[in-house]
Parts: sequence; C-alpha cells; structure tokens
Amino acid sequence: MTDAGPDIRDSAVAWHIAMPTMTEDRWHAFVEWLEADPAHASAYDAVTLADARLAQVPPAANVITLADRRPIYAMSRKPMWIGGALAASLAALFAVTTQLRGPQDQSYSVATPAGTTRTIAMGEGSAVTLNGGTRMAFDKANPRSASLTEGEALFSVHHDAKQPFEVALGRFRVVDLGTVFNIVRSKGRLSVAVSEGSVLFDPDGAHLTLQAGDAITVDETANIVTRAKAGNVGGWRNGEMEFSNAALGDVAEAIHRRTGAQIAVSALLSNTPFTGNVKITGDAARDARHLAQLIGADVRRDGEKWLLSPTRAAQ
Amino acid sequence: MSESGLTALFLTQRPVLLRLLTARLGGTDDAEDILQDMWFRLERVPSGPIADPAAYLFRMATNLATDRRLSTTRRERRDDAWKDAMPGDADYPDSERQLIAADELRQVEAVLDEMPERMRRALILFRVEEQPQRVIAETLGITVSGVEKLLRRGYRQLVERISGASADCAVPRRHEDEGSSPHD
Repeated sequence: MTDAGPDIRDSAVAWHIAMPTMTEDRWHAFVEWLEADPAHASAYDAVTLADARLAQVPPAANVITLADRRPIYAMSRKPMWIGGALAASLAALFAVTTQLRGPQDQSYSVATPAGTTRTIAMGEGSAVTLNGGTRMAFDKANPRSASLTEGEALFSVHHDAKQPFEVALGRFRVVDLGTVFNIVRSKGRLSVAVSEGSVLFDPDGAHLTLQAGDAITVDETANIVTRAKAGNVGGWRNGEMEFSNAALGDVAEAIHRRTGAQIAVSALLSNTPFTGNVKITGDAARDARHLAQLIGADVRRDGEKWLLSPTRAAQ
Repeated sequence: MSESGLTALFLTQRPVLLRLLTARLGGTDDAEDILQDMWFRLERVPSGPIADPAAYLFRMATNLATDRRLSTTRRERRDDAWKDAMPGDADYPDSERQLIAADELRQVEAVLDEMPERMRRALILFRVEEQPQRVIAETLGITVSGVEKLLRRGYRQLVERISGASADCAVPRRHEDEGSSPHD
C-alpha cells in the first residue's frame, strides 16, 4: 500500500503543490479524489509526511552570509564593554562548546525589502513572520534561537521548557514561556508585545515577565523601559495596525515596512503622538490620505513620496 | 470576512470538511475531533479580509490533519525505537525526541543535497519560505510552469526517498479496513 504506483504518487504531488491557490471547487474535487481509492489517500499521506520533513529545513539555500561571523547568541550574552578581540575569542570558545555538530559557523541572515513579508518555519510548529524592511539572523545549529537586527517580526513559538525559544536583540534577550509575540526594533527602540502565553524580557537584567496583553517599549541607549498594553499583536499581517501614543514618524515607518509606500512626516509633526487604528490597503495614495485625515494633516505628493505636513490652518 | 461569517461558513462546509478529514485520517473519531478543534480556533482567528474563506477552511483542516498524522508517526517511531530499551515507558525524554528530529533533518538534507541546485532552491522557496510559484519563478528566472515541473520532480524524489526509508510509518491506520489489507 505504501508503494502507491507512480501515477497515483504524481497525482498526490500535483494536488499538494496546487493547494496554496486552490479554490473551493478544487477542494471539493480533491475530497472526491481522496475518497475514490484508499491508495489515493495513502499516497497523499506519504506526500504530506515528506513535506513535513522538508518544512524543517532552514532556508539556507537562499541566505546571505552574515558579515559579522560571530554566532548570534554570543552577541547577547556579552556585556557591551568587552573589547572586540576579547569578545571574538569568547565567542569562538562559545561556538565550540555549543555547536557540537556541523561546521563552526551556521548562522545566516534573512532580509525582507519594505512591502514584502516572509514566514519562516522553525520546526516543531514554530514560525517567525518577518514584516517588510526587516533583517533577522538565524542559526542552523540552533533552531530555537533568532536575532532581530532591524524591523519587525511576529513569533509563534512552540514552547519547550527544556529549550526555550530565544530572540537576541542587541544586548537584550527575550525568552519565550509559551507564546505568540511581536517585536519591533527600529532606530534604537524596541517594542515587545505578547498576544498568547508569556515571555521573559531581558532575563539577565530587568527580568520582566510579560503576559498576554502586555507590551513594553525600550529605549536601547537610555535603558528606559515603558510598560504598555498590547494592541492588535501581529495585526500588521492583515494590514491592521494599532498605535498607542506612537510618534507619527514611527507610524509612517510602520506603514512603509508593511507596504513599501514612502510616506514621510514633516519634522514639525514627526514627534506628535498618535493613538488609533490604521487599516492599510497597500495603495500608497489611499494610505497616505487616510493617515492625513486621521491626524488632520495636509498631504502632497513628491514623486514616489507622500509628505504629510501640518495643515495651513494649524500653522 | 468577519468572525461570525467564518464560523457560519464553517457550518455549511462542515459535511465536506468531515469527508476530507475522514479520508485523510481513516476514521471519523479523529475527524470529529479536529472539527471541534477548528471551531475553537476559528473563534480566535484575527479579523481581517480572507481572500477565499472556504479555501482557508480547507487548508486549515488539511494542516490539522497532517499535524495529527505527524504526531502519530513520531510516536510510533519512538515506540519502535525504544520498545526494547525502555519497555512500558510512554514518556520519552526530550533528548530522544531531539535525536529523532535531528536524524529526520539530516535525512531530508541528504536528499536535498543530491538534487540539482535549482530544484533544491525551488523546494525551499515553496515550502520553507512559503513563496507563491510566481515569486519562485521570478527568483529563479524561469517560467511558472517550469517551477511547477521542478516542484513535481522534487517532491517525487523526496517522497520516494523519505517514505522508502520509513515505509511502515507512511500508511495511515484505517479503522475500517484494518485486518483486511492485502498486505497484512
């Protein structure tokens, strides 16, 4: 029964490949195909099991090798004041003791341009969705770790108490305690928001536990942590963004990350706090006008750019 | 589509979803179980437009069915591997699970390593990075039908090599024909 025969196997593979874009009609046809012969169901089952194995493979074929060859977790464990050479040698020691199999350097980075999101399966039912304009580093030897260099990502992490999932954010670490959470890292500011389960922020220092619904913002240089309520965590995937007291400049940047639209906020407005929901369409003109309406600003087009500035009445 | 829209659609599609899950899992008990699970999940689906809500439900159902099949085959593998060493112990340490996972990863990486570069990249872009075939075609500089051919050949090789190596795990247990299979 395992050896379904090449024709049935080919059909099963064809169904599997078509699946991401199948309409309702095709799904009904697929159900009929599955029911028609137990050999069909068996062949399809074999395809899904092979597919699940494939899903565990890190996206190494497409990687950009990191210029910084240090293993990513070493960055977060060393205090900043350790000199470069010493840090590098400590990192090398660390690499030898933690990477027992495989070549010494297995880190790779994944970068998304603004407007392009990408989901990376991390095995064991975990996945990371990178927003546009995001750069992350992963370690092939340790699928339970990731590093966010810049941008935004939503983590949906299968919890394993013996091997918690860790995200390195420069000097800080976030450790999952069973979890869906979102992290933004941009211009020296970090935001962590939790929608399911909980995470531990900075286990080596602040040691803050964030529960579902909690959020924090961290000024990376000033070391100031502000607690907040988590809004629509990961809503950016559907174009829904919720802001609470966010600087308008950050709002424009969040829209840019997600859609690639170049919306700039004039210096006069960029620090104005904004609270509210923004529904993004991906159409730069509409999104810029919508945002301008929400904040009562003027909008004008400058080539590919949309510039928001205070209305003349307000000036 | 709102949440209530999705759950309403779930109710109308339920009979076909049940057929899909029954065919996948070889029994109605597991299928009903998954439908229950789907119902709870649908209440937590983030609101927002879903392009083809019915297709969304079918994808969700097949994914859950596959998850269930995976946990069954993993358990069977562990049972087979450790039956003699640890008789009667149902809970295996995480390190053993990790060994099996590492073994599975090495196996699939070995198969990928033997593939032509383009086929390997197409498979990884399709499955690991979940890119649409159009994007894969642009990335590799080939046509969409070329991508489809690469994926078909690649998956065929994966299935042959992987289910060949763990043949006893690749057959779903079918309650209704247990004992009557021609190979038993």
